[in-house]
Amino acid sequence: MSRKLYIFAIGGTGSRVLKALTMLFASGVKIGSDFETVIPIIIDPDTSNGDLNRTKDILRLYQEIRNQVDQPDDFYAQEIKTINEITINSPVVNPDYFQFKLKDTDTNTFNQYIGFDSLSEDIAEKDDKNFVRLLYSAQNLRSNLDVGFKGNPNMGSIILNQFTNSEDFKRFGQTFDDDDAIFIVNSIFGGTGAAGFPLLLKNFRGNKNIPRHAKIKEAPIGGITYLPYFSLSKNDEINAESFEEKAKIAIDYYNRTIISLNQINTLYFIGNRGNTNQEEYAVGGQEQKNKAHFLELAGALAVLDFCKNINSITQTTQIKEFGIEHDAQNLTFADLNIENAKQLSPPLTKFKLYTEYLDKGLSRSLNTSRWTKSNIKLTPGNKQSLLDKNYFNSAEYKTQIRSFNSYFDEWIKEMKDNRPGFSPFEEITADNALEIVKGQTPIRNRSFKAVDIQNCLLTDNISIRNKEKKHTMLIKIFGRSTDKVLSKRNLLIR
Amino acid sequence: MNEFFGTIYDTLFGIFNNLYFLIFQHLYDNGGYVKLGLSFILIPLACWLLFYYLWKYPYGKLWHWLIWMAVTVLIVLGATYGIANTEILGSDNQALNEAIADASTGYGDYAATLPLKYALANSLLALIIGFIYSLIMKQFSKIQLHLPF
Amino acid sequence: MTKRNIIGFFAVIVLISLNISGCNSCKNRYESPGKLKTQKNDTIPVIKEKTAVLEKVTFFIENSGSMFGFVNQANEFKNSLVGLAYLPEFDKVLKSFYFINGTSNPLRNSGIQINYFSNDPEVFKNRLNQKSFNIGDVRFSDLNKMFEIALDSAKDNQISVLVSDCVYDVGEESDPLTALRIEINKTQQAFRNRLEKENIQTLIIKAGSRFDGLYYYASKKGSKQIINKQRPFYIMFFGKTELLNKSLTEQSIGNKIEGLFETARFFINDEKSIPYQIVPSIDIKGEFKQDFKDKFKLINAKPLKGEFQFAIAADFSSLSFSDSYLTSTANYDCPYSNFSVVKVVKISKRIPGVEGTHLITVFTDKNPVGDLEIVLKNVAPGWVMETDADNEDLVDSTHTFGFKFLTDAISEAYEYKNNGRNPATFKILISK
Repeated sequence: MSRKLYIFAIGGTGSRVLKALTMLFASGVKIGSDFETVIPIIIDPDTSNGDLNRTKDILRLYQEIRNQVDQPDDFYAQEIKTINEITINSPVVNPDYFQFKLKDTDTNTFNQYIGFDSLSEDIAEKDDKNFVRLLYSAQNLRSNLDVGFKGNPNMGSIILNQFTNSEDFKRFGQTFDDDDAIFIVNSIFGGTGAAGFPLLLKNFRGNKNIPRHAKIKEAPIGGITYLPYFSLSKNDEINAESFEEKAKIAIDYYNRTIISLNQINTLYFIGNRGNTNQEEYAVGGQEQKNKAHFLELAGALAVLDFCKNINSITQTTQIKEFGIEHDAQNLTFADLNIENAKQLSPPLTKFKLYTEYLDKGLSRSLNTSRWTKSNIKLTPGNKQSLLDKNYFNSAEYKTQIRSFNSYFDEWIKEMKDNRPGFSPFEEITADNALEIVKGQTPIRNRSFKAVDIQNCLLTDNISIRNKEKKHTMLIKIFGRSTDKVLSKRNLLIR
Repeated sequence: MNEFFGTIYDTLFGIFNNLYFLIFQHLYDNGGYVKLGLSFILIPLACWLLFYYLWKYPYGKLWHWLIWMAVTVLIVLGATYGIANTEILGSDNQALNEAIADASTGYGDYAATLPLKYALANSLLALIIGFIYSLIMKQFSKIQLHLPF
Repeated sequence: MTKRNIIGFFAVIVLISLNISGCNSCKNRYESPGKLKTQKNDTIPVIKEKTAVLEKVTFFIENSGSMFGFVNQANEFKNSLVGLAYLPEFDKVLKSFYFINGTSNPLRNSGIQINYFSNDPEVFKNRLNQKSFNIGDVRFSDLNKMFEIALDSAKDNQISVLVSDCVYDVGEESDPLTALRIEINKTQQAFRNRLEKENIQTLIIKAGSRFDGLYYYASKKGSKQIINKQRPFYIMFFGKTELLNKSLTEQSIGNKIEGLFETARFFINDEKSIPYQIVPSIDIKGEFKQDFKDKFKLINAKPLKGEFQFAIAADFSSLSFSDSYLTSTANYDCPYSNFSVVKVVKISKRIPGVEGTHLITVFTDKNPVGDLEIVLKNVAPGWVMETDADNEDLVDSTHTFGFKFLTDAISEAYEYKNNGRNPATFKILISK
């Protein structure tokens, strides 16, 4: 019984949560509960949005790497696919397929989109224009749509409506199977997210034009709604101070139309008042590149929670909130609830050690340590390493592995620099690599040597060797060696 | 085995002299040759087993191997010298001891040269056998598979 | 390397070294006596026969006419005989002294006369004069019969002594030598018969003494006057080899016999092997190595300039040969081999690792490879040939008419019984 999970990530927040989830998948977290495939769908008209593009690039790299790993069981274990791949079953990785396009937003302004000009201005008969003016400010009407809805859900709700009649959406329906599930990520204070969430739900539960609508109607659906958790450096077209007001109104709307009508099975809420970080003011576009926030990581946990409890879904809406154990400026694993700590500590610590190793530790062992040598004399081929100098100089390693790892490191750093910060890891050098976990100091040797030793021991292991899929050995060997090294020293919370 | 080792030393290395036959007779009868032989076989065995299976250092280079070979050879040199010394000069063979004590026989002077000769012979043998051990053992080593090459 | 590993490593090294150096089981396993080996056994036989103890010594003194000249005066004859009678080894032993003369030859109208005269050496001393000698039938002597009787008295733990001038009385034969040969056969028979029953050693001592009197010809009629000149006489001992070797060593004899003397011994060669060993450090010519396992084997044998030589050490202490006999290379042989014995010396200075009395050096200038057998023969010593005279023209201090025949007869009898056995045989295997 292999099921699929469709994740609709709406707007900038959706992209960032999706990014956090992808990082967790790269670290070896699996959805579980027989969910074989995760299909992310980003809905954001702001096509040049920095967050969107970062996420799409990360998803692309994830897939490229995973395709070069034979039966991953730790890092990159979780399968991520685009709808395109499911329908056409093509192996082509095109990150654009992660996004559902919105038509006619590239070049139009809002009034052009709604055909404002063609509306009647006759006060006596159909006073449509004035009616429209009641709902939308002049600024709204003049807005360029290619950068999203700038925090105005009244605009978003109109434009997103077209989405559900799009080809993309139809294709989604076609691929929907028994036992598949849907999860929606949105923020209540944004423009796209606030509007899109109820819209999507309405369509999932009631639109008879979608292929397989009967299945979709009965499918388990979960969602996470972000309440305000950051502020802006200045107030202009987008007014951060209006975030809370908008949030209140939206929640009221949800309550009436979604929650009490049991449209969604589980609804997760998350946010943070006070002590919030200030982001650089930007109105969408490339400039909107918010720093990664711990709450986005927490939102990814909601997805995992939803899937874990998929078999005990109730028909009445369940509400869940997120909390931590200790309120601190800089969070570490110890500040989280023990269950969450157990979910996050092992994969993130292992993956972090892995990226740090490739950055700082590889130079010592490359072409010296046995596990990097492929030219050992008097030795059969099955003992030579596949991770030799050629591999580490290859285009695939540099453009795929290194790029992804640098995204990961950037993501961790951004979370650390954010407020509240999430910084469970110390800065390390090659000599004290195993002091990586904050608050833990292992005895005896702390350098990367332990990792190199494990790598040597694992090199002959036939289950990690694969010549056709180039990254198999790297990913599998480090998944195992970091696990061994860290668990032996009790550096993982399990 | 006694004969085999004896032949190695007296025929291959020429550590033999009819004039002082009592020494070599004694070495044979007392199992001295076996002790010398086992030195160049077992000590390098232990040393290289250690190197390939107990030394968990992942950055081993050729010079590590060379140094270890030197260490092994030195240990064999010292051990062999000690064994030869004990066997020849510290035995309880009365006839031999009398011969050595009697300066006119020349046994004393000749016998004094022997421990070093055996030590050097064994050193060379340890070098060769160590190399062979290395080539074999490295096949089954996980960390030092790449040494010496 | 972790501390644990370092400790483990050194523990292993120490264990190995201890094992090797203190390997006691090695010692026991590989130990072999190695020093002196006999041919058949690895150790010198421990079993000792019941030691024979001398019980009686019987002296037979020939008192025929030609012996009178020996007892005319105080001389070596008397002194030597008395000395022997007073041998310390004979002190506590019963002694009997007899005169013996006459012949059993039917043509002579005589008979063997044995006259007992004492058991006291003091009395014996006083009877060594012409007057006392004049008893029995002084005209004739019968060597064969005397041998017979003396041999007969040497049974069990008894020794008998015969004193004679060892001249066969062959009468006035036209061909004395042929007559001698006939006599000799009888001698041989007498000895063979005796040897059939017991392992008797015959020790012949040739001594010299002043003689003053008549020498009666054995092969022709008449006599010759000899005034105060040296004449040889013979003292012959018969008895178990063990008894004779103990009581009558070259040294003990030498102490009592006055003047020069020679000895010849005839005995049955013992089954017991003479211990010997190769001595690789002496007299080496060429290259070889003593095999470790088989100590009687030389391997890697290579001559140098065509020559190959080495030495063995033998322990002749159980043999009673004289030193001059043992060191004479003529008494050795290397049958069926390219080797020859070139030197035999008594070991004076201790050689390390060598237990033995004599060093025997063997040499070859041909191919040394093969089985080498070195034998010590039991042959008549050189002086025997020098003593012999085949006529009575010369009657002097060294010669005795027909002596060679006498010793040949005895020698052949013993050879017959020995059946090819040699007193000592040394086998060495030499290979490339």
